[in-house]
Amino acid sequence: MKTATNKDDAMAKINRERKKRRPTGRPMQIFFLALLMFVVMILPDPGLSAQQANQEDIEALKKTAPKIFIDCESCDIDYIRTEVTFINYVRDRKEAQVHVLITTQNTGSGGSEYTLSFLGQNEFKGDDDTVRFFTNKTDTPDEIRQGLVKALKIGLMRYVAKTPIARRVNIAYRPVETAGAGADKWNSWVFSIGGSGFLSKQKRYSYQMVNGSVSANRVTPESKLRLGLSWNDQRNIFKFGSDEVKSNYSTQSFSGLYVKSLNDHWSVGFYLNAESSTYDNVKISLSPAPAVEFNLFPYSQSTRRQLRFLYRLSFQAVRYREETIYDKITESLLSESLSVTLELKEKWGTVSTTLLGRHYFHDFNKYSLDLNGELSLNLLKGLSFNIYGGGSRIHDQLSLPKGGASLEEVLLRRRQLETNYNYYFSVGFSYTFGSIYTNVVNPRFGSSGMSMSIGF
Amino acid sequence: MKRSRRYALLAGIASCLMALAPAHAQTNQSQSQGLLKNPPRAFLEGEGIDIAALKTQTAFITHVADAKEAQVLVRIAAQSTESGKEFTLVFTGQGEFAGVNDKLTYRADKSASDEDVRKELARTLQMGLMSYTAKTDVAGRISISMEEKVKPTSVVDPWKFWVFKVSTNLYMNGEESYWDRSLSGSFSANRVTPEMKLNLSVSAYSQKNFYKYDSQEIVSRQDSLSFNGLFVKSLTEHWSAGAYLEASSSTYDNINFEIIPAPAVEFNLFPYSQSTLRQLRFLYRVGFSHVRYREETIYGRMKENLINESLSVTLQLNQKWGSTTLSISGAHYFHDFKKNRLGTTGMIQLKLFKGIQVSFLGGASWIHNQLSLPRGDASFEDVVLQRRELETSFRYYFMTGISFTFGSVHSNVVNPRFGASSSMGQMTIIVN
Repeated sequence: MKTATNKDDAMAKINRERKKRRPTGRPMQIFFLALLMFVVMILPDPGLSAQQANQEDIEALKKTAPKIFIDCESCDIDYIRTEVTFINYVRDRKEAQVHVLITTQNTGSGGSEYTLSFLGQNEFKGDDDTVRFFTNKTDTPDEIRQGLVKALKIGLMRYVAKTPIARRVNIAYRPVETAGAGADKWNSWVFSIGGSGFLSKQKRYSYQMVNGSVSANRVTPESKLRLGLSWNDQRNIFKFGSDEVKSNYSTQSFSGLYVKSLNDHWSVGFYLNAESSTYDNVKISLSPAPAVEFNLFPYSQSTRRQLRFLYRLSFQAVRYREETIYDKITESLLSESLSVTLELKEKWGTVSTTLLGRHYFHDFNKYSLDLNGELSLNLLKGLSFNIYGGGSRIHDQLSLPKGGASLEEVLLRRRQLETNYNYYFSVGFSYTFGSIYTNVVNPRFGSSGMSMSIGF
Repeated sequence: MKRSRRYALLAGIASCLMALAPAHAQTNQSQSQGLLKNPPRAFLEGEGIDIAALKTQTAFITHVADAKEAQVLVRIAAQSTESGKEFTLVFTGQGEFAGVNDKLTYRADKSASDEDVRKELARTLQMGLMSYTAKTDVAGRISISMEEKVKPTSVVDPWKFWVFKVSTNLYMNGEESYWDRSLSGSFSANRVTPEMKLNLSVSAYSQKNFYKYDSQEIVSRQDSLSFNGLFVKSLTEHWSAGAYLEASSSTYDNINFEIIPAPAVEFNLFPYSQSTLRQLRFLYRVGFSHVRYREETIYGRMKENLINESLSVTLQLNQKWGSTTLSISGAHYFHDFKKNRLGTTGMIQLKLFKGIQVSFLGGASWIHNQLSLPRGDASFEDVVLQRRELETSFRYYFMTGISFTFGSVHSNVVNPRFGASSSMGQMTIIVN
């Protein structure tokens, strides 16, 4: 009720201002200008010039613009603030009238689907909307942020339309010249080849890394086929006194996955993996594995919530590099695994957790159990809390070599070591208070630092 | 016995899953497959409203003659009030847009001209139709703008743009023969307006790693404590002046305590208002440092006072064809001009042709100013784990990557089954 009257007042004021500025005839204009100049010269407060009235006007409007909280991890927020000026940005979701939750998912062509969930709060409670836009794999950061800004502006219109600043926003349309896109001659197949190299050196230390990958994917709502080949080589050299210590790491792998969609909750599929790794003491291993998945939530809600149960039966034929602690150089193994994954992204925070259990059939005591999770919450104004961690019970290290590891392999963690457990845990909290507005972009002295993502 | 119990458990889980699955085998129609190809079909109605004029103002949608054919129904009602006329626009979604509804009002002042009223009514209609347009391919052809510049500080803010933040973090990781733990905390106070910028922060970090090797135990630790202050005053669209105040203590750098006040000035060849698109910044800084070392340095010092100057040039471009950041910086001490350092870093990410993307990243430094190097030799684990600054006269790194993608470009399908696709590699680099 209160906002409605505010809005009326503001509108009435704007209409009054507009009336003042309505053009009259030319001689009248000149006369008024002369009079205005005279008034400006004699008055101590020159608040009446058209320019200034206009400026004051827009500044009054800005105060009533909708308060928006942009909830996005990978967006160029400074660019958004520079391009979209008809709203007010706040740093806490509880202060906002609209919470814009931006999530991404990979698409079949290797690009991303951005989902912008507009959640109305306070005065806009119940006024929700969803806008999507798509990027291609090779889009540059500039093209991506332009697309995001466009989608954001369109989605914001229904809220902006309910505030007085709407009168200053223009919508323009560029008509289509040609007919729509043609048929897809590639039949949804997407191929990608990539490689990268890294080299770093100083007097007593050098590191080099080379990796490459080839992939072929075909993703449709009915099925998903992913085939990928990748390799990675790393080498460190340390000079210590007159000694030179070298350490290598290398993996090659092939991974294949075919998934057939059954309905909105069930899928079946088949994995085929082949691998060679110095870390795991594996010369070559091949494992085909049929699998089935159930999602408690419909797959169509996957960007916001998933609870997936994935059961997998794996056959593995493996040849080791060195004889294992169980005196094996080759073996054939059969194992089963079940994993449960919960992922929620809501306006109060995110939850992501996975429980994975696995055992071999030839000896049920060779098993592992792994739990990891992440929780980040923003429950109270300004207070955010995040916790992540995981732990494993490990009784299935069949590939451990008899020979053990050298000191540098231990320090650089270049070899799998014998253990019954491992864990990691992190907890952090932050409390922010003060101004809620984050409209300002000030790039002087290199403000935010620049970040760049290189995908390969 | 044990085995049969296990199978019973599995069977139990499986039957639970079956029970949870809904009976209706719904296909994935609702799953996202990209945007609708055709513009929204709308039907406008309203007594005493110039519908034809409104149609010409909303060419981005298809107007249909029958309400049943439409995906959006728009009912416009006008009502006279004391102060003028009130228009109510009710938007109702149908078919693909079922459930997408909205209601907008436009209050026309008594004194407003007919032309103004027509324009404002059309604008309100356009805005209300955006929710529907957003879900179709037409969205790409819409541009929304506000012509007037408005100061971002035109808000009512009792805190006068001050923002404070306290944060702390603990991390632990371990297995039988290895563990590490780190603890960090920070406090910051910031005030940023277009006219000035003030950043103040205190942060502390401590890390401990523990290794077991043959019955031998190796412990390695790294600690640091620092204060960072920066004040910048905006002079013109191209010039700024400011001052840094830094204080720190670090085991990596062999520094017990160091304090550096440093006035600085910056010139940007491009106006600062274009900084999200392009920047070419020259930053000159004079630092007065007082430093006390942990161990005696290779120059036989335990503490010293130093003056140095530095200049850095940074180019940042963010354009349609790609992004680039190049930076060169040089510094030297005044007591001995030979104690200097020259460094350069660069990143280029280019879209060459359709589907081919190339990236380069590299940096090189010539280093002749390692005044804080301790006299004693570093231990084997300090070298391998990079826990100490080591003596060197150069340092470089270089990385290049290329990727070529071809095939379908129409595939905007998201298929989340069996987990999202693994991205092959992703690297985020932050350069200040």
